[in-house]
Amino acid sequence: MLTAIYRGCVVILIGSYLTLSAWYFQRHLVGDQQPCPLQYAFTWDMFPNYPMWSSRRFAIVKTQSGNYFRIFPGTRQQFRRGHSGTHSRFDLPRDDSRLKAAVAQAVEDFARVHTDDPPRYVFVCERYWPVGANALQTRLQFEESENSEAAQKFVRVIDEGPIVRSDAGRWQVRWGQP
Amino acid sequence: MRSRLVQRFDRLFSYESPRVPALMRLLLGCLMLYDAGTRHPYVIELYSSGGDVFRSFINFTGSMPALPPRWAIALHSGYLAVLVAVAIGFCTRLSLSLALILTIYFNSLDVVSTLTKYSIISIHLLFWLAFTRCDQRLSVDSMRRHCRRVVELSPRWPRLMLRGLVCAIYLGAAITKMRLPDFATGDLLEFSLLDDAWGGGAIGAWLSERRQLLVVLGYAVILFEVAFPLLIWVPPMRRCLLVIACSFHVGLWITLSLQIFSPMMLIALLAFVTEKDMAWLVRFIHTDHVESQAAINGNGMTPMQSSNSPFRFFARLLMYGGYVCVAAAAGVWHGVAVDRYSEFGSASGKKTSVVGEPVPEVEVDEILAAYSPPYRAYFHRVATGTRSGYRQVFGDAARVHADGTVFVLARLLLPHPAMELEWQLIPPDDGEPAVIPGRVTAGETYISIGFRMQDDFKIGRYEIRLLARETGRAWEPVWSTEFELVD
Repeated sequence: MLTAIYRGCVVILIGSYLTLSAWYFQRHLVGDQQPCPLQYAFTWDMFPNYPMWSSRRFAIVKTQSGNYFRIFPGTRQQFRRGHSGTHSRFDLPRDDSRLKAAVAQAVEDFARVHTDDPPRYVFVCERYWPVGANALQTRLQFEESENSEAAQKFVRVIDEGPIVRSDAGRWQVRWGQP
Repeated sequence: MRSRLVQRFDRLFSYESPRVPALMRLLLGCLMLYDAGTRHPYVIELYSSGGDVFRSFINFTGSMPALPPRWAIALHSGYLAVLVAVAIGFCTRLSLSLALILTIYFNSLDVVSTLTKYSIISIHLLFWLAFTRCDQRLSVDSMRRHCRRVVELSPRWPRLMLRGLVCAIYLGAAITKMRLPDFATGDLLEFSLLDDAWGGGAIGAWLSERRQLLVVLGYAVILFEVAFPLLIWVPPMRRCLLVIACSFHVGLWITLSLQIFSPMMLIALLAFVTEKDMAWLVRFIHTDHVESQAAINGNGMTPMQSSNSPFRFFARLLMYGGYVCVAAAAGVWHGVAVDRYSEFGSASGKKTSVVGEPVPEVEVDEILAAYSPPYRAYFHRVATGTRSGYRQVFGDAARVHADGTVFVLARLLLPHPAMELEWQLIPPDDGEPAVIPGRVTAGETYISIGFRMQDDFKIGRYEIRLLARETGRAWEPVWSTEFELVD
């Protein structure tokens, strides 16, 4: 009796697993991807995309006295990954909304410490370059042709905005209002 | 026919030596411990409400909460203790189950670790290993039973499911690659090898310059990933495919930075290793000859029943709980003492609390000038040849015979702006160039052109130039090459 129950449970378990696998396999086959945990757990989509540009993201604030400080990545962003351990979690995956939320937090941290010279403006920037420049030989070719570090790496301002203090005493960034 | 089905069904419930599952458990525990250990100093940032939690599935209603920093450290320390228990085989099934739950919890809080598919593979491995008797070998649990010279055999079906999992992984990966045209051209491999997050190794960089080799490797990988799930079940092919699979993952390990994906797959491949394959290893591990022979013979085995008294069971459970709690407490004590994120206001935390690093104004001006790339930066590769193939050119274009054609193929980086192009063919002695206008839209990745060198063209040294600009801007030189037109 116990053996029969055991066998029945095993058959149900195996059947459920195989059914889930087969279902999500056919969804993967036809290219139907849903942001659902179960589908993610049963979809084997290695190499889904690949970047053609390498990048690093950072933020700079301008204070009331006109000084500049690099505030991001800061103390809160210490985890690094990538081949050379230089990517913060905001370099990969590249998600602008998460980045701006983290920068807003960094602004608050900065304002709390620098009470005598509060931040007034913030720039969120990205330094980027073609992935081809990561290979040594290509990098050397770049340097020979331009003889300049700036020729390899480019910068774009992802977003910027003034920093204001709310009535509740919180420091807030008004994104997109230069 | 029916009896054969019944036989197969019975075979599913037969038993085998627990040696291979035990080895898988040991290696998996060590590997996951290494991975979790490297993340442990960053628990506050990765998994606590005081950090930047990147939930894997933002819109999923069942998202798990991030704990306050102190509790997150305690839980992660407990997780490390559980993984140690998995590796050494202490309260093995309980440890495997707890490791499974905690792996799901921590991965749901950190999209970065989840994006690396090995974390999902580890969840599947933990799940199926929990149904095996992997505690019967290479474990603390087995030492206790060994005194009584009792070895319980392991049911066969969990290992069959692990085999199915490996096959599903390869088939799924093959489908993904087949859907991406860039994989067949070698572009995907090339960009992955060049990327400083996923690739970045010296060997990878060297390999990225061998275009034709990458194309061959791309097809070989797809062929392998389709062939493995089909042929691994054919006994004469099994060992050969296992060797190829191991070589494949070792190759990935060397050339790409996929964290612990390759060793994880090597562990999963152990599901296909049999007792006979393990014979060489058995010499080094204390073994029960009767058990080995029984496992090799296959059918007709029944598991031995262990005789755990309730008192012993609860005593062990208490000991296990105490061990995990001590580890959690030690983790919190250490985390507070180090205070890497200045979260607890300790003396060492205050020392590391530097908010903002001054930047000279000159440097800021340079940064905020927001210099964008010259147009040539958008051209990843420009190649010339005398024959044209699918997204490739072949032949030596340094010397072209009259009536031949010079093909130019350019690979662009995405994203890039829409550009106007100008191709110039400059004849010998700086004669009047032939100008061919062109365009490239924002989403295009390849552009190509062919210059047919007619019989009446002057023999000598020609130059091809490519210029680009966005509408309304000045032309910028992108690329040029020279070739000899010969009779």
